[in-house]
Amino acid sequence: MTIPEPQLFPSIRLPRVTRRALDSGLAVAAVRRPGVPMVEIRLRIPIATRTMGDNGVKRVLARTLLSGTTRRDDGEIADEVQAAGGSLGVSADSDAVTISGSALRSHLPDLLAVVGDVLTGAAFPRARVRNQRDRLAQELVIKRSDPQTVVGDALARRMYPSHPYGLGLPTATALARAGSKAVRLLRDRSLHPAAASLVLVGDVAPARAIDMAAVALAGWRGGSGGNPVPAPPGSATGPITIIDRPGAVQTNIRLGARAPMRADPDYPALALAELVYGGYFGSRLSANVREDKGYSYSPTSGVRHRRSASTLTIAANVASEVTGAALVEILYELGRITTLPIGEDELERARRYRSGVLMMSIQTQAGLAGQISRLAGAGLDERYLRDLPKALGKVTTTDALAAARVWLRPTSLAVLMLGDASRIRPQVEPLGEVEVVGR
Amino acid sequence: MRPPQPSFPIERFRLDNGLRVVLSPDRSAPVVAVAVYYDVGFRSEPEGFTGFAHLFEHMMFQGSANVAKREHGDLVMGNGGVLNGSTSPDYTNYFEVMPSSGLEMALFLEADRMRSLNLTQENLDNQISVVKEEVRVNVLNRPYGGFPWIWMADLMFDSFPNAHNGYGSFVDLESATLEAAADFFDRYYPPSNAVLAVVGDFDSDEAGTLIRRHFDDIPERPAPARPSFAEPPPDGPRHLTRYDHHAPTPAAAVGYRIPDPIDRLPDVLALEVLSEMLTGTDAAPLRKRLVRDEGAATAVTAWMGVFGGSVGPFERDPSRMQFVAYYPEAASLTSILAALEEEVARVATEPDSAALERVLNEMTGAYLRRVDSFMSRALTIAPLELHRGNAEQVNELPGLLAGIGPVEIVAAAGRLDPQGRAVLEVRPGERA
Repeated sequence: MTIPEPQLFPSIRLPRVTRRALDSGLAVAAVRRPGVPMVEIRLRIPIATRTMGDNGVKRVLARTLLSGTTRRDDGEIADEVQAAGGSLGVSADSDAVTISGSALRSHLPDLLAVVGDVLTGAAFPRARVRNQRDRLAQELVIKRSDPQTVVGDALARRMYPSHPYGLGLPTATALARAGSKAVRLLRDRSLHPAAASLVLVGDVAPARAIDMAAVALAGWRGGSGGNPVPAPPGSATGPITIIDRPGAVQTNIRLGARAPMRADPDYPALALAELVYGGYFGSRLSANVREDKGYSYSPTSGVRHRRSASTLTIAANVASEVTGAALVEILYELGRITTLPIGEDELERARRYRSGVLMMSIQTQAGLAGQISRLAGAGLDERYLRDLPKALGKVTTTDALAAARVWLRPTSLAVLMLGDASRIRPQVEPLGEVEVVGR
Repeated sequence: MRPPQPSFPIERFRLDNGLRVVLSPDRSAPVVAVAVYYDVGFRSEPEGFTGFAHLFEHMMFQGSANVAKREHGDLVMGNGGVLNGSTSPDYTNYFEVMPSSGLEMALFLEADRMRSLNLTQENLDNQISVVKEEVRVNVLNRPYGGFPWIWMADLMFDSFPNAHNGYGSFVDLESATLEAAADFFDRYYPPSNAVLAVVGDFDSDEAGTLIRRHFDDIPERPAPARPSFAEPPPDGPRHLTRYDHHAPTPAAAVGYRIPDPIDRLPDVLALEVLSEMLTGTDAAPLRKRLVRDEGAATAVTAWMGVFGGSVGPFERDPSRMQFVAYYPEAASLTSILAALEEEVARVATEPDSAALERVLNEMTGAYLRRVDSFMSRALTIAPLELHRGNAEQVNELPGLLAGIGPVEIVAAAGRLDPQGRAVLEVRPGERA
């Protein structure tokens, strides 16, 4: 029987984005997307912190931004958002603080009023800061008990020593110093609209949505251009590092290297080579390590983009007794993709997968809002949603092999693993220099 | 405020072999979601075969008469789509989300494995290994693994179908045979035991033609008789303490039996609204008290069923709800339980109608956001049709919520009887 494979690949429908810069410098983008009677907002404020201390303060700032203003206490903020049929949250990463929210279409002005109020009048009451800081500290204790977090942090430190991207989760000491005074100082220094972007997507006329935002955020002023963290130097490798976790029934293997940034001419070719290697369920890594050997549930690779650097990570959680065997296969597939030609059909599957996922990511209001906001953070706009598939379409198997040779060389990746050293050390020793460290 | 009501179209038909089909076209994006739900989950596993329904789900990706191992995924992803499957107490689902030109291929792939799954010993051995790694990563090698779902089932229920671990024991997984898999397929995977839902960018007539083309010739087999899983209500409070050497701090789940999610949906939704009133935000009374004011807990949440749902849990009776708390000091559990009891009693005596109004808005908004996604919409419509024969409920949730007033909330609070609750406690470290 012939499998009815699709003949055509639909091209992406580019959203029509209405843009306006407010007097404060805030760049506002709005898209009408009826779908359901809701509106999504994403406000991304670049705040690049450089030290562990500032990272802790930024995390606490994100946690306490909704903890009360001169006009509303924390309960009133929560109640108003709830009454708007909405949600409102604040997150922080290495590059930015992002306010994400949603509301029933009819209640968008209410949601924006709360956002405007916290941006200009957040009071960071001491008791609230203390409470949120203690909760955050407890959550981090729980996170750090998760082996995947521990090994992820260790990989970041190895790859980005003495760079903000290598800091990982804030330490207890850093949090302890993040009091309301420090949070206010960071707010005064950096919570400004000049380099920020606001995205509104939903069942609302774009011009009207922007008008509402302009009214609600009129009092939010200040700042200058963004001040991103400097690009980190080339990534360090070092010996195969085993972080000892006696008694572990599984080993969490991680490999990491730098990857080209979105605007790098190498990126489309590397993106496809990386997908073929391990970036999706149809990859070689998954076929080999999961579907052939059964060593791991979800061996995978991925590229994470940040403002000043992009990172390639390979991850596999494997049974302790096959740790060495699994690392051999991971390295074998790296060797293969950097030395042997990539097949046309493999490349075409990766290309379609990447383009399809991009198309599906903007099917919802929330997905589209998130995409536009992330692109704005990278200095890009919605044209990227059309340009990336185009660029992927031009990548040849020769280009993909060339990119793999630069970015996926087995010797240029840092190799770490968290597991029971007494069981896994003898297995990995034949594969290179090994060091064992405590947690 | 009148609740905004979605109006997603629902068209249904049934093939001669018993396959139920629901179509919900939406041309707003060139994307289509295809979901097949089989009316079997881990509650239907035979004794001695714990984890079999989930292991079988893995085998559904291992090839069929016209599709080689790995080819299903290669075809879907290699044409721009994503796919997955999952196993729940009362259903096992499979889905593809694709650029709309891939609709026929997704239907072909689902039909081929429904008609002629290919089971081999090599693939079975391989997937037993993969599932064991899945259990290690999600349960054995991490803090709070299996909490609360695996242990809560064991604590709250007594009969094998309701109480056993749906991930399965390694002993049972390793003893799985090809013969058992073939029997399981034959018994639980006939078209008459399934619902196919298609949501997104297609024309209904064309989709109907394609569905008939690919599914019509799958032979009819009788749907399995479905035993009742009913159990008498618990005869008193229950408590189980588990020690988790990965966990840095204690945690507890408080489980309650809930009315039949199918026959008594409004009562179940009232319980969900009540739990949201108590724990939905930092300003909600239970969370405010324990997390914000007293600092006794760092997190308090609640959800319905084993894994949650969106119009009540997609489960049959008996089902449950649970409140879950994480807290730094093990000794706080007593006061946390007391606070839960007191806050429930407070709602029962003086329900806050302003808070109720807010929570209804919040839940309506959250629901609309969820079904905005073609994928989530398909994963809502299909189980509604499978268990309730009522895909239209996808449009009715806001209206059902709007029917919940203070009277219903008081009645819901009355159902959270401490005499019927089950407390599952996790303590760090090894048993003393």
